[in-house]
Amino acid sequence: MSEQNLVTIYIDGQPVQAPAGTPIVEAAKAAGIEIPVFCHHSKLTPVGMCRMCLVRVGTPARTRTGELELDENGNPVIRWFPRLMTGCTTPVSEGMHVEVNIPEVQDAWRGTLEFLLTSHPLDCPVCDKGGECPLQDLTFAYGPDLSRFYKPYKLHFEKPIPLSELIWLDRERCIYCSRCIRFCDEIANDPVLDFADRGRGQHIVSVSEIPFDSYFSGNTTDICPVGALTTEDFRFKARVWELNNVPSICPHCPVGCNIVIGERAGEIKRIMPRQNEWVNEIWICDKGRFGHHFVSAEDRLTTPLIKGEDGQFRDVTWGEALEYVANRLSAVIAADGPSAVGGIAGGRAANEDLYLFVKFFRDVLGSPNIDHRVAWPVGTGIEQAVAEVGLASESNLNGLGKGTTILMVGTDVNEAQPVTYLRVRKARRNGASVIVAQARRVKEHAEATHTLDYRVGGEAHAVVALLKAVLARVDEPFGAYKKLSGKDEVLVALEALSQDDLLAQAGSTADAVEAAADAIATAEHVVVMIGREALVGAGVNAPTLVDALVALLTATGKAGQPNSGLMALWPHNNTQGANDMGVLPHLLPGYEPADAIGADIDAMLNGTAGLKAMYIMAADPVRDRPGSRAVLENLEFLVVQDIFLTETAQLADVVLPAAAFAERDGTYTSYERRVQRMDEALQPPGDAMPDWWILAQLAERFDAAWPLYTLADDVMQEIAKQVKIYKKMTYDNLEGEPIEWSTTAARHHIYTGTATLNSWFGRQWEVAAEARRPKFALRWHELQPVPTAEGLRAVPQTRLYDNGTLIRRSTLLDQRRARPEVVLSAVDAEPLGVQSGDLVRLARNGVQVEAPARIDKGVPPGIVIVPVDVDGTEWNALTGGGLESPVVKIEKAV
Amino acid sequence: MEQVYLLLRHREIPNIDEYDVYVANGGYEGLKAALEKSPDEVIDIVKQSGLRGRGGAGFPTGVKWGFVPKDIFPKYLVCNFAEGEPGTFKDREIVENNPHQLIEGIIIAAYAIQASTAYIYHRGEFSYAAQQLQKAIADAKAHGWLGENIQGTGFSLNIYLHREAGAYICGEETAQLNSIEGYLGQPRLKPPFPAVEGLWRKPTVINNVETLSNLPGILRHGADWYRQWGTEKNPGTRIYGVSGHVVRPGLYELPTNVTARELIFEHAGGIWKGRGFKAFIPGGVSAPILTEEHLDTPLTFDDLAAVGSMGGSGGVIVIDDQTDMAWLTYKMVAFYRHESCGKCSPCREGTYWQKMLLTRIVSGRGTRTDVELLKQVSDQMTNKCFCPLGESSRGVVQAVYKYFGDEMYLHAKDIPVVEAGTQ
Amino acid sequence: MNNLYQKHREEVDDILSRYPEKRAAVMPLLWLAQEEYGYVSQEAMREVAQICELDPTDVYAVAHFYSLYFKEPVGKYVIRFCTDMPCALVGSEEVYQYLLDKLGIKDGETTPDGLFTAQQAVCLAACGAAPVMQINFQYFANLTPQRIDEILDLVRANGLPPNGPLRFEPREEPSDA
Ligand SMILES: Cc1cc2nc3c(=O)[nH]c(=O)nc-3n(C[C@H](O)[C@H](O)[C@H](O)COP(=O)(O)O)c2cc1C
Ligand code: SF4
Ligand code: FES
Repeated sequence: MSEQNLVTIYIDGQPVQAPAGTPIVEAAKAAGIEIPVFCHHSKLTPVGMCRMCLVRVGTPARTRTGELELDENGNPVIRWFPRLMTGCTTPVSEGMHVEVNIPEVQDAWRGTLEFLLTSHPLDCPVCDKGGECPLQDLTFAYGPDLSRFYKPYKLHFEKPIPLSELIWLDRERCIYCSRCIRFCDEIANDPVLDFADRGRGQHIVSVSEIPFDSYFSGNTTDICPVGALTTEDFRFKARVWELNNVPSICPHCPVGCNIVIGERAGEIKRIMPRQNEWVNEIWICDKGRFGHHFVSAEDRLTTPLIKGEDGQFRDVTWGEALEYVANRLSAVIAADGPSAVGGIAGGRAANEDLYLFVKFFRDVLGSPNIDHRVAWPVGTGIEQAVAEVGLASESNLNGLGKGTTILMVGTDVNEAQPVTYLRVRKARRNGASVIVAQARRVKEHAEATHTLDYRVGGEAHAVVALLKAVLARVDEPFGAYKKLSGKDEVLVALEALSQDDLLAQAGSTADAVEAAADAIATAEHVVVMIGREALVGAGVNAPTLVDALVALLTATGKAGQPNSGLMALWPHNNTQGANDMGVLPHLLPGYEPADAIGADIDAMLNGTAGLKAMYIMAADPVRDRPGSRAVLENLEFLVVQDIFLTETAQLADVVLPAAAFAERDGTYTSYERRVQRMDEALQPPGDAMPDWWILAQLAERFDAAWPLYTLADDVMQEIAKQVKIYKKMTYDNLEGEPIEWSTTAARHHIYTGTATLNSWFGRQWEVAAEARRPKFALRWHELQPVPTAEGLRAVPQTRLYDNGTLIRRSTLLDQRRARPEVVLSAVDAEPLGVQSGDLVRLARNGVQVEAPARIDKGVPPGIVIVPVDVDGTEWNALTGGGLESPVVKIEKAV
Repeated sequence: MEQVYLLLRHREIPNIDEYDVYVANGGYEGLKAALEKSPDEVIDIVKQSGLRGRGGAGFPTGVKWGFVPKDIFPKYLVCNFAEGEPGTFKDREIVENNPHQLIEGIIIAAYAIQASTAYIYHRGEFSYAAQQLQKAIADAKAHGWLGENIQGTGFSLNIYLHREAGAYICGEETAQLNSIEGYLGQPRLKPPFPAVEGLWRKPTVINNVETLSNLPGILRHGADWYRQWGTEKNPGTRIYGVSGHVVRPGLYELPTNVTARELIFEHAGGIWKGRGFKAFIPGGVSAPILTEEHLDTPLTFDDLAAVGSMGGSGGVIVIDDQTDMAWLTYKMVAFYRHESCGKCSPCREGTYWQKMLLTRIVSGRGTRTDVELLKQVSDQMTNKCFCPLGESSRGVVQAVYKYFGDEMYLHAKDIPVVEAGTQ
Repeated sequence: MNNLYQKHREEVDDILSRYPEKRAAVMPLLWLAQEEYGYVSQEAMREVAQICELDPTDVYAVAHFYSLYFKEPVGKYVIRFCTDMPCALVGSEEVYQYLLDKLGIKDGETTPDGLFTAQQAVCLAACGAAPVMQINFQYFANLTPQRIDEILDLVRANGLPPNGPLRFEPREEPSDA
């Protein structure tokens, strides 16, 4: 809000400034004056239905000619509204007077509370909301001492009923504020809650096919101002005031939602959102909220294991395990040289771990064979591209609106990075244009102002066509960056391509491309999101797809500008950090080109790298890429460091037990390159230790001259010194002053719910394009024609609740876990004689799986959608674990 | 005063529900006259006529139309045929017997505000009236009064019926809009007012059946003609529906300023069974009750407001001297309790509480405290409800308490039973 | 798959054409479903939801907001009897009780033969002809126990008479005196 539209109002005579149009309660809250609310929520549109926030309001009287009327003392005459007004729906205007501390208003508050409590069960002692309940707190502050309602006449409902297996509804506690309904409608776009019946019999219902069918259902329990909605996870688990609230970062996806771990007696009792208005505001998805049970799983690794001659693991001490690993690795290096050793570190590990992993391989072992991209295609150039034209630092994805165009290519954020959906929706509601480029229907189509349909395989062609159309609208392409090399080559290459050809190859229409180009060319900010599906679908043309996106952002001059840039929707929470730390065969930490280029993950896992030993940390290639099993089995020596005995770990000679995210300090870097801190909430089980600690101990066995790292902080200090882009990323720097966001106040649970206050906001690092004179080279790879194959292409789809290592341990989610299925169009189903529910058989390269079919309007002919990682390795083998979109044979199984 | 049949014309002209009969008696002349004028001129004439809304609030119709922004399209007209206010039965009578006059009025109103679609929101129970409307719409269409490019003026209009399904609150205009759009029939926040943002956030005017049925006459004969009845501020006639304890209940179309005494004792034949008069409710159940002392009040919006009641829907409910006022209040509050939409706390909880207390009182279990509490709860609802429904529920109680409070205390048991307060 | 749509394709399309948004068709489609199935079953709500492209919850909510959508099966003839204040002033509650006794059921119930369901109604907008009731949304006015007897016999024998405007007889009440 600009300064100009600030107005001054007087609350009980005290002048308060606020932007014109702000609801009175928000203006008061910002000034530290509490006006109690229930239905009002800072993130939702006002409804004014609970009638809690009544205040007396007057505005300066004006004469017929519009002049202020003045009294004998020269003060404006105030015209008071004849009745009390709801402060949540009355916008402030210049000179408005509001009275709060007067008997009439206080009576009204008392009265509304008495009404709300008439049928309330007053079961606070057994209510999970007790201790953080707005109804309880506001009743203490403003309510009557005694109710005049006769207890026997209280209206009773059956005590809590499940809205789903995750969320319980106690209709007796409900005060009908409709916050939950409005959250589902407005924020999540999952309109699966509503009121049924009317009057006093009114109650919340959900009869969606899947109960409370939303990936955001848990948020309703946070914003419920009473204990009507509670989670199965936290119900009766602890009193809120006993919890130790530890700030952390969600370990599930690259959004990097800020969370709070509610710990008690060494256990996670609940996960709640931690407010960060730049990241997740006050929301998290249900995977983040309920997917923490892996931490306390029975089958966590608790001691180092060495496999004996008999093939059985035995427990050993850290000393023995580390000694053994050092000896065996040294032996391999002595015999075959360092390049016989390869390392995989998953994008789930923290930056500190990944940094030391790289340091251990490149400096101690002397091997450049390192990679993290188990679940991501190699050779696309996307890692480098993000470092060059990534979303600029100081960008605020939640502040996007009018003037912004978001281009989403091959994304399915609701399944893969859910809170991204909320951000895109918010931006669109605030006026942003959203271009959804996809081969199939996904939830973000609901937010699309423009759609750019293409056929699978035509992704790069569609984007190149878009680039050409954008260039035609830009006066001086690349004009903003004089030092970029390669731009002429790009222009020449584009010139040579016929738009008609591109469109034909892409299967897109000229109209769609032109409209999208308009939206991009006229935008002030351009955010590009690219999903794995697009890179996988583009196949050999994936590098060109990435080249084209870099060219698009630079040609329009958006690269490096705040609120513009490229985001890759990585598969893991810290894939970005793995790139930054240089867990790549060709790049050093901070994207410095490496002299020694190692084998990439494909070469390591398909055997062409000829490795003799491997060290795998926080990754499970046997599951994700079933083809790698034979290669790993044939190694002379395999070390696996993980929190579970994964399928890969079972093949290992040594297994080292690691600490889970909640059991250690560290940092993760989100997909917007925001480096964020988390704190240790629990002790690791048994002898499990943080990954960085294990690596440091091991380096010592190699007599490496590493400094003594006693805390993760020590590692981060070194990263800040050694890795230029991380120079500001010390733990101190990642912390900010606690912010009273415009949506919070001293007792902010009353206004926004129970999301916790925050002071750790993280920080984005600067991409190359942000330099005063950006210089990097544009690349261009020749486009190959889209292969036309007979048969159907299987398009792998990430599902939020898959059967992955971590999420599998939250049995709470079993009911909604994605099962194997084959989703196809009616057009393709018909000749096969297949109807929804029929079993079909998919076959490829001798692998064969069966699953029920589902016919879906959103799937175009020619492809079948198969979920990734929802079953055993066979399923992943057929579907390529998400990294291929193979042509499959499909038939009805009988 | 003599009855004047501007609306209840079927009482003088048999079969006026048939198109030919209607036309033979000046039907669609008003529309013809309107179409020869500019929309603004039509609005001006209606403003000059002083016609006030017959749905309950009595807001000047032409003024309401004037709030509609000119440059936003499409616009909508909604004919409020929800007629759910207890004591009100005039709209149904008009539509069942004289439907063309309403259709003509709708077309005139739509033309004036330049709406291209009109919905008639009719009560779910009105099956015969709906048939009559369908037929009248078809006839009007067949004769070129509806559809594309009406009478070559370039103005187009379609009229559709939207059938309500049993919720009094959907008579309230914004709840009605929600109901048409397929949402719960709960009222919307105002502002924005429907004239600016109504159906699908487009400008929308909502008018009552009786209001709209007055338009053909006004357009055909002019504003001055209409002003020959009634008063300066409340011109024209009104259909007063008399129910309750009178000899001749029914509808009486009279100049607006007929007094309650004349209506009840002359037209409706006085109190039935030779009993005495006790009270009357002048404008549908939501209008606070009045007594003997108010019998000479003219039944205009303004005169009734001046004595603390309201003109409302024109339904006059007459109560004889043998009626138990606590029971009467109970019946009224039971209605609001049943019809409260549940959106706002004072109404949802307040009507429940009121009814609970009244149940105790009329069943002989009540105490003096209950009667006092009833008054206090009603006061606590006052001016806090989201919409007038809740306010009516407390208003009717307060009015009965004011005039007949003593009688309510007579129900109280001598020995108060202590009901423990809770919380 | 969607029985309602298959059976009433034209009518459904006509309903949809009246509104700029599909959601607005919820109420008319619920009416159609009620005519088709006699009441609005859960399955019917799902069919309506499908046509309007809504979550079933939204349709369920609308269906449950209104009292004229029957959420349970009802008799062939649904009697809705006004016991609201203006009717009650002239004895409608007693006449309704007479009707219930005669049918041998309680308020809200259906006769064992499935013929009649009786429900109390709020004001039916016919207060001048009180007491009144509707049978399948057709009015019967100026009710007395005798009229009830006649009407029930008539309906049992011949079904409902043709629908028409409400007619009421002038009241002839003996004086108290
Ligand atoms: C609870 C409530 C119920 C109402 N019911 C009706 C109704 O049944 N019929 C009607 O015409 N107006 C009804 N109204 C009034 C309408 O909201 C609206 O004022 C009217 O339809 C406007 O038309 P008019 O200007 O022609 O009077 C009701 C208002 C409220 C608050
Ligand atoms: S007063 Fe409140 S609860 Fe009552 S009908 Fe109006 S909005 Fe609904
Ligand atoms: S009415 Fe203002 S907070 Fe609910």
